[in-house]
Amino acid sequence: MSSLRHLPMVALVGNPNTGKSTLFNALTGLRQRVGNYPGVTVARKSGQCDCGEGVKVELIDLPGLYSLSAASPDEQIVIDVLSGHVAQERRPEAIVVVADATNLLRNLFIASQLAELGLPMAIVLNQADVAEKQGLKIDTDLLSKRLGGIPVVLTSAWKGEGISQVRKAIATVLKQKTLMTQMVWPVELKEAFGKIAEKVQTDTRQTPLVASLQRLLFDTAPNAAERLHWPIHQREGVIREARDQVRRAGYNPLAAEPLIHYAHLRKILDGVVSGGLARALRSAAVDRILLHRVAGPFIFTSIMLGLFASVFWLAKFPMEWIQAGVDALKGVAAPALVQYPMLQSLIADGVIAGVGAFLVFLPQILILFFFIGILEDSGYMARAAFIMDRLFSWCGLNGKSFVPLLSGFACAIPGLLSTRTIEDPKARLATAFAVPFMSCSARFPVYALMCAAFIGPLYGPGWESIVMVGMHLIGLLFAVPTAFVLTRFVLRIRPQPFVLELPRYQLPKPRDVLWRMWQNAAEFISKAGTVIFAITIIVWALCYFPQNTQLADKIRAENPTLSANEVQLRAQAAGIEQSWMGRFGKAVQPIFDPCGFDWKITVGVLASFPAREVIVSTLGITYSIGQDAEADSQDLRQAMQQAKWTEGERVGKPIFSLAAVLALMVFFALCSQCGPTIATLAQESGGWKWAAASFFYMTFLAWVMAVIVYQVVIRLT
Amino acid sequence: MTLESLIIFFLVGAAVGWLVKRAVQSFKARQNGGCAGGCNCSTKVRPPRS
Repeated sequence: MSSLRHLPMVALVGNPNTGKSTLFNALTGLRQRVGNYPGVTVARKSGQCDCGEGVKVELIDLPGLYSLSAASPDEQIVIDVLSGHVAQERRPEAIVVVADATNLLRNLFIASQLAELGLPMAIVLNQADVAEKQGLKIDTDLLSKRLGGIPVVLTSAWKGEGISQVRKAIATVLKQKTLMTQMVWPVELKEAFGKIAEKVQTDTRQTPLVASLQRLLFDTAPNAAERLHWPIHQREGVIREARDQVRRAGYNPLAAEPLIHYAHLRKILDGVVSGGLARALRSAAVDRILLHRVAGPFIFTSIMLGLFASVFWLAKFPMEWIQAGVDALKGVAAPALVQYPMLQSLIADGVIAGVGAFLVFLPQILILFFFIGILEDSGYMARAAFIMDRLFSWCGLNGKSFVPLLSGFACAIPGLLSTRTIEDPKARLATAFAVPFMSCSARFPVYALMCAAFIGPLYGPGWESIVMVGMHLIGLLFAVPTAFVLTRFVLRIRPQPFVLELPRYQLPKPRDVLWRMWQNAAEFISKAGTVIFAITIIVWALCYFPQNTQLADKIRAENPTLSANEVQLRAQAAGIEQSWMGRFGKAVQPIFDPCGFDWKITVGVLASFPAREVIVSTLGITYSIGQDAEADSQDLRQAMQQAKWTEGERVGKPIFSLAAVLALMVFFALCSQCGPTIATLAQESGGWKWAAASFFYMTFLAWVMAVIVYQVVIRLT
Repeated sequence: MTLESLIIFFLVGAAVGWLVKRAVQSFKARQNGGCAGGCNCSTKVRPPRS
């Protein structure tokens, strides 16, 4: 960070999702530094940008925000940096506002507010290619003239178009120090600002920025006053008086700011933007159907059912090919290592069986993310957020909770990190508590294994997708009442309004969809080659040792007609029960017995506490050791279908009955089985108290629900 | 101890060591305020080099 301090600092500011970070990457290339702002967990991204003609700057990419009245940690840091209120951080010498060219009115609102900070400014209208496709025409010269002559540049950052013009604009703005024309406030409001300014100077001996005065007048949150160290007893009277003055002038103090800014911006944009109306009307017509109070949720559920049905149907053959490849590899490796039984077992029963059982789900992951990519790119996901928000709003969760909860369906960690956008700390905590309930992609292989091995063969492919959707909804069904109790009775918070921008519908870009597929596939394969690989070795060792050398002799003595290979296999099967893992599993199994789990499932469940998907490879090992390593028909699904209880009341009955399969899936849907999620929850909630509460609550709930499901279904079937 | 046992001992030891090292690195990364990765999220933040 320190090596760039000699360069002038320029800040990139803008609404979320304007392509700001893409532009930042294009301007700085690989010369980036990532750290944190002091005292807060908000990332500080900076890099060196060469603007040509010998001008070099330190460019900082500030978190996205919609207005200066925001109060979330991410948004507050933007205001503090631009006002020069962050310790060890310089105030930027200029601002580059990145705006979405397809929605200038909303995007220039922040620019209009920032103009009052008195910093030189340039405006980048990004996503120019999308605007062009929508038939929008933007007169940048006219816009620049109306904004006081500041540089206005059209770019398409993801295509790398217009980047050199942005560099030139930065150089120009630093040289000419051009300020954006400030909005002229009505006289009554100016007087109200003046009164507050006078009192601030008297009480705090500080001269506040015009932007700070606006925050004091318009915001209900006390952030601006706290920044000025202006105590409530001193400010209360004057602010109330100033707001009364605004009311007498015919303005609502809480709504005046956006109304006046938008009126000002409409005048500026009059004649600057033209075209694109037909497309907007088409989007609105489609929304009337997709967002309909009754039809909307019905269409959403149908899309989800269709998605999972397609995932199973399309992935069937590629999965069989991968399984055949895994079996073939096992068939080659096992005979080659026959001289070394221990190494043979490690490679064939441990690594190949464990990693192979996990890798078989790669086609489903690819197809799942292909469809998710299409839904996101087309603009439907934002509509899904809107539909689902109705469900959340009644349970007291903040409207902004939806985005973290939606992210939680991919992975809880980004979901937890995105709770930082929620201003109210209590609402942030309630949302963070609900996020791990969302069915993340790590649960997917568990559901897929159970559905493919039991639900599909028993009840047909239609039920596979119904169970799959059910498992994805079950977390949601428990998250809602949990959040209700937490928000109403424990944290006592009130719901807050939620603003969601609905993007226009568009045809998904194949490149983006394929890129998303590749990213997820790469992550999945990398996990198989690293974490899963390492864990399979350890699980294998725990299942293999200690070796009882007398076991084979005993079996041989009892069955003298058996071949050497058969003796070895029987010895391995008996050996796993006497292994460390077997002993541990059998000791703990009584806890999970009411859920219908045998000791092998128990071992899988316990091994999955660091990461859920480990159960697939663990079952792959526990059901592989003792099987004929050279037989090509013994994949995990078949081994599980054939597994039977060997002792107790259920002896001879299948271990994986419908009741046990559903109980296992419900357990995985609700249990807190992810080390990084717990650690991130502790970090985001500021301590281990809430993380521990979440862990014990979810795990206990999962156990109780698994017991209920098993006991009810076993009696009904 | 046979060569086979030595190889097994080495592989299991390396797997345990690697997982422990990874867990420590993730813990440190999270302490620096970012996601330690491994979740395919777009908010991967690496800790600043000291």
